Amino acid sequence: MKGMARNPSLTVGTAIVAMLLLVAALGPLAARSDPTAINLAESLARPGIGHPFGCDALGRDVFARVMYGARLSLGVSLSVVALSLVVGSLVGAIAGLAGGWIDETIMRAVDIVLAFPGILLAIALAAILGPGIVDLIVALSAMGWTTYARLVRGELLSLRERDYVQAAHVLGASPSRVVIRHLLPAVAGPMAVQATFGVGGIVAAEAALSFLGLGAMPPTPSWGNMLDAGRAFMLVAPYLTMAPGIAIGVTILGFNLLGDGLAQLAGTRS
Amino acid sequence: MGRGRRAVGVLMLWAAAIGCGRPAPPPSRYLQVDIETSPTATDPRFATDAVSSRINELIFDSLVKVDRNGRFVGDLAESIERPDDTHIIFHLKSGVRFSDGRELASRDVKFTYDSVRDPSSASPKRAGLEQLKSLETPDERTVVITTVRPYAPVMEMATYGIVPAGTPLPRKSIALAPPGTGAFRMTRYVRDDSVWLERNPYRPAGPEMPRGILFKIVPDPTVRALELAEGICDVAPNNIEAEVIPYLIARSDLVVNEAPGDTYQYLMFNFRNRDLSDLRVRRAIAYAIDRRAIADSFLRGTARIATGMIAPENWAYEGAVTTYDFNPAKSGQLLDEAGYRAGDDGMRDLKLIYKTTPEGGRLAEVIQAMLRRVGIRVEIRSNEWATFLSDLNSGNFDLASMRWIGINDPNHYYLVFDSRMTPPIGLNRGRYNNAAMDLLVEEGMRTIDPIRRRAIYAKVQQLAAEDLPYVSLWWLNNVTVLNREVAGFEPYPNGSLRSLASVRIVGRSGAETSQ
Repeated sequence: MKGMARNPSLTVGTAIVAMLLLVAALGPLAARSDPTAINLAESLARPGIGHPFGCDALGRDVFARVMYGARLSLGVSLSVVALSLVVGSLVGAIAGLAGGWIDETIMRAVDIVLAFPGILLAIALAAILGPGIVDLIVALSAMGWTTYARLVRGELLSLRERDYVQAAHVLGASPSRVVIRHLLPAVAGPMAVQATFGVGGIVAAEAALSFLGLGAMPPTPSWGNMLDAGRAFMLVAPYLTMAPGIAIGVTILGFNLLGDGLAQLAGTRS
Repeated sequence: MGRGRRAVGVLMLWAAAIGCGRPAPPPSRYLQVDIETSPTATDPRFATDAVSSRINELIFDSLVKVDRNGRFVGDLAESIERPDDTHIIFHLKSGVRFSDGRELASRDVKFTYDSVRDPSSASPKRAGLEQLKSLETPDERTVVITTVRPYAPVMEMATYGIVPAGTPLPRKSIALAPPGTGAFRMTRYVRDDSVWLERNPYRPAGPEMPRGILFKIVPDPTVRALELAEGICDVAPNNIEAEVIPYLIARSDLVVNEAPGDTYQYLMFNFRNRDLSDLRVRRAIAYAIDRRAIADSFLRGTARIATGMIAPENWAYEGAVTTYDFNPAKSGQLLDEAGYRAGDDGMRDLKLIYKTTPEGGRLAEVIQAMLRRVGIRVEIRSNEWATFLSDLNSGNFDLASMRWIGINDPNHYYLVFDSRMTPPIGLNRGRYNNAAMDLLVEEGMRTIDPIRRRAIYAKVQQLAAEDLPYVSLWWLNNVTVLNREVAGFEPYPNGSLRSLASVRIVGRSGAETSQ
């Protein structure tokens, strides 16, 4: 109780994210109906007992599609963040630890990537790679890794000069032991915060690309392509856009709150 | 109820906000027509797409035009003579003036055709004049067309919009249309925004007729619907979702004009794909598509199930052809016979790539789901128009869904099914190759006698339905949503908007808001 009062972001964020993970894991069971099964007789059916969120223009159950969409959205976002995190941390660590011209070269490369607006870079890459889930993950990771590289390098540069790290060196600890025992744990906190915010951003980016037709291919349901398909029917069937729209909103809110909460937690601890 | 309406109001405001704010109303007694895309050409010598043609028809006249029954009637020609199989003589009307005041003469007609035929023009309409041997002007009022050989669809050549002699070829960037003899002249063109037409001062018009037409480019379907509902837009031709129309009618001063159309929707096979060159596979796909269900629910009944490329209104139409009623069992049986047995998961070893445009995406998903039921895996690729077209022309597809708009002469069968008419010279994008078809369509092109010609095309339609280079889906109706103040609109089967020149605006001006 005390913790909740002190850090409501963390509590609410954790609750939302936990719920989302549950939906992604169990949603397909709850939805029962096949999200890709068309039933033209129920085209644009209103929300009701059989279909809590109604049916789309092809008579597919919107509830089932949102549930399956959660799996896709979270699956893609977590994969992208994981990939970006690994690549970014490695690159950042090399730059931070090696220093000198290696650091210079790597960081200028990072600057070049950062100079492109992220979403545009992802769109261009997705267009080149072609539509599909794996290509989508690659395209989004290509824009995501730089943040982690900069973060890790920055942290390492400051940590390296700390007394306890210098002490470990003096006591004869091997460089790998210093990295694993002393540096990594110290970097983990800020990285976790960054990664959590990252998931929210990637959820939005994934939806944007799918909306533009560069993400999941039909009939795979994704929140972005559902929004796009529902757009033409906003006047007669607003539930087609509301359901995925709310799902996107809640997901981003959840991860951002969790990120905030983690940041507070990290702040109070240090 | 009240809350529901308020929610809708909020939604409308929001939609209007993303559609770049409230648009300025057009000048009084202008009609606003909302269209989805910009015309690609304002010069009639270059216009080939539907939007450009619709606008061009209001600005330019041609020797003959197609009337509402699909027949050729004189437009600039007062009378037409056919002394023999290779000559055709047009006598021009007198006293016709271009919108800049010049009087029309035979030299303008000659100039227009010469500039299209000139290889340096690079006009996409040049190919249509391949059979034109010469165009002579014995006097001011007479035009004589000579064809290389007897050429039945010669009248198609006489539908080119006429520009004044000396009109330069358009430059790369699209500018205003040159003057024409039609009802309107173009006064303003803003790409991806609007096209403004004003009455041709040399053409008489009644006081109730519109002073001008503003074609506004509105790509978003919801914004088009809202502009109609609010009385900003007066006419929306074939671009409001069928599901949205009842909603609009219940809430605003709108009327719907629905009439049978000749827009033909089809599924094209690529014969370079070995699986699809097997007739049994093509038939299986035809049997697997429930066209009735799609037309009734998905298209809300705004289409007629098609038997072939030519609509029933056309003189050459033949309805006694093989049809493929929905029959998944038969479809499965044909696929089994062709050697594609269903595996344990019900799927067969048959994967197809279906190309379409984003607009065609929904139809593609329906067909994908229907083919999945008979065990065919279909991967959908939707690309914007230019990429789509280049994939079709290079043969980079298995299935593709497309439309033919405004097919008038059955010679179109030659362009799409003759084995020599593959891109870039023709439109046989599926690389269909059948010697019997070649013979028929070439004979149809050379036969002038209408009765013999009709018999030839009856065979062509029967063969096409039997051999299935296309699966015929449906002919779309023309559904035009109009403000109640627009009176006298007459639909054309090919979707032409010619009648906008003669509609009347009754009651208040076109710029009123009717909430």
